[in-house]
Amino acid sequence: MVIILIKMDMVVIGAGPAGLSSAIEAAKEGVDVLLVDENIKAGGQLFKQIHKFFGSSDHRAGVRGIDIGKELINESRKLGVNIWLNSIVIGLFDDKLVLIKQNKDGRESLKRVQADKIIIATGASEKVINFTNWTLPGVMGAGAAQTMINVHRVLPGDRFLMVGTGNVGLIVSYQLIQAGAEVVGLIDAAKEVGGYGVHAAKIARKGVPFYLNHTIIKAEGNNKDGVTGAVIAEVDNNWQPISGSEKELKVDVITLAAGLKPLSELANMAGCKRTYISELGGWVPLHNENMESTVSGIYVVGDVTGVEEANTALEEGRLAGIDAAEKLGKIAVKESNKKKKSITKRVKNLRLGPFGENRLKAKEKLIKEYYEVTGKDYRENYDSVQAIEQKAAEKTRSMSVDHIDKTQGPVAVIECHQEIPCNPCELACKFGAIEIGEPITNVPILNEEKCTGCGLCLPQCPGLAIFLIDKSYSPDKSTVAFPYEYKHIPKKGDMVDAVDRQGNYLCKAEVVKVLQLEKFDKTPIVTISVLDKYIDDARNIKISD
Amino acid sequence: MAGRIDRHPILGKRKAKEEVEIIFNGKKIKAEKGEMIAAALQAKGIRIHRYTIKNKEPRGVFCGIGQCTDCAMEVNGQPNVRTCVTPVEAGMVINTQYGLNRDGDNID
Repeated sequence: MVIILIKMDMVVIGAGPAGLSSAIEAAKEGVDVLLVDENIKAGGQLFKQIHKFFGSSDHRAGVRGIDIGKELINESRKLGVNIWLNSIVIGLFDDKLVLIKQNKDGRESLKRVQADKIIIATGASEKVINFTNWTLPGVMGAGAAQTMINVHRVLPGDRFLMVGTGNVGLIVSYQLIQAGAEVVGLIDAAKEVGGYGVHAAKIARKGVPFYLNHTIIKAEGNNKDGVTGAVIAEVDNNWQPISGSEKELKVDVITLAAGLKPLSELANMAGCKRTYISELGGWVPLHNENMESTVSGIYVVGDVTGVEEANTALEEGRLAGIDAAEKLGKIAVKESNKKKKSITKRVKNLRLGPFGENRLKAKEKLIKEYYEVTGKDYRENYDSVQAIEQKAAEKTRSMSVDHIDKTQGPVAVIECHQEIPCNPCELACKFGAIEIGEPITNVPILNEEKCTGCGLCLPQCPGLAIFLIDKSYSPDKSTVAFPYEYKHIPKKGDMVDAVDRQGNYLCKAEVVKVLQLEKFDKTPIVTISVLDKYIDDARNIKISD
Repeated sequence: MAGRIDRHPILGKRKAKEEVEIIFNGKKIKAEKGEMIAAALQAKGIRIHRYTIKNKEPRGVFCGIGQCTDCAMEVNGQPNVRTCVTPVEAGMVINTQYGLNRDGDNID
């Protein structure tokens, strides 16, 4: 059998955010790109990300992942990127020969493609933890549950236990509640929540308990029904379960959010040198500052070279796409350097702050090791981007709103106290009342004198962490407005239960306004009135779904 | 409630899709055209996809994206089909897999 050899400038393996963005950047410069993905749909894991993304507002932060996925696919098609779906790369051979098993109209065939440049964007897969009965049906990855509810729109159970409180565990818990499930709790062996405080706050004010310093001992269940419960226990300082502290939870699904590991097998097959960096999820291929691996002309981008967020994957993809276009002679070196410099700066900014610094150091180590292994001279193409000194939060972390005057009228309150790379609120304010500046990990600071109380920042915050407080509502009552992304939206005039930041009942409250505008992108703003004495604490409502 | 999510605050109302009939362990069930086999089964509360060779332990959806192979079943006579990434087709015959195939003809 003779398999025809197809020649392409570039083959991109994996059509997730990193692969799509590298294909787009290269195609913009006139590179002939073939994008290959084993799935029947492009977009990688973007289509299960129905939440608004964190990050820089110049790069689609505040937009839901699902919409970013659609935009990227449209753009790549418009630019003439060839996309082969349902096609598995089964081998990468010398001289950049890519062997692909293509499935078209139910028929399988082998294709050989010779590419000048290859971009490996194979992503990552979920890590597991094992415990007694962990293989029972009903124990699944948090990402699996997320795919079931957000892509297939099927809820795989009624009562969920989330194991792990990193961002994946927090976000998927929130989305399970949005899908109509009950999350009976989140557990983590660590003593603190691993992910962003704003994500944790969203589910805490829904009343979901966090069991920190806890581990899972076993899944209860049988061979006929799968999971019917879970036994958790407190852990001691050596992470060992404390006997006698066991607690049984009635659940039918146990979701594991124990992190992700890069899928670097294909890079390994191609001869790309790898190293083990636990902060990046495990074995990762080495790369230089332009994402080129130790094999000249083969790039590695996105989670395959270190598990991070979709926004860093998008930037790494762009970087590789531009560098490859430059090496193919499609873009002048000067122009390419300019573009790469600004992307490098942005991506570095995304790795600042307490949540990013380990990844930043790990990525620098990866690049250093690339130069040690290849023996190439490390010449910085452009000025290194120094971490800009972070502005200390001037705000106290007190949750009290005592500083707001009874006569003042509506004013925003930003309950975002961690240095996370995110700034859509800054741009949302047309009056310049919210300042983040550089770097993007600064904590937002509200200038109350400039705040008109318009509330437009509320739906823009991907962390749903901005509230609008109006103490002038009536002589003894104040109002609080908050974003409310659940199935049953209350109506003006409804009497509801006001709850605090842990979801505890405070008092009855009247819904005084519900605002649902197109530009809020499905994040309605609900305003309730409560007696003044509850205004420090009332941050959510409880209505039976 | 477990099963199909009809209303969703972000994704909106579920659009009615064309239905197809599939046969699971000899029984006809309805599925949505083009959806993954695993989703169609989960919508009916079915979550045991196969039993392992040695210990006869049940397995179901674990990764949901075609990597772990835990959700493999016998589809149209072919064993080891990853049901989380294989769309349903009208008349598709899906069987619980025992060991390496439906009949439990396994290498021990």
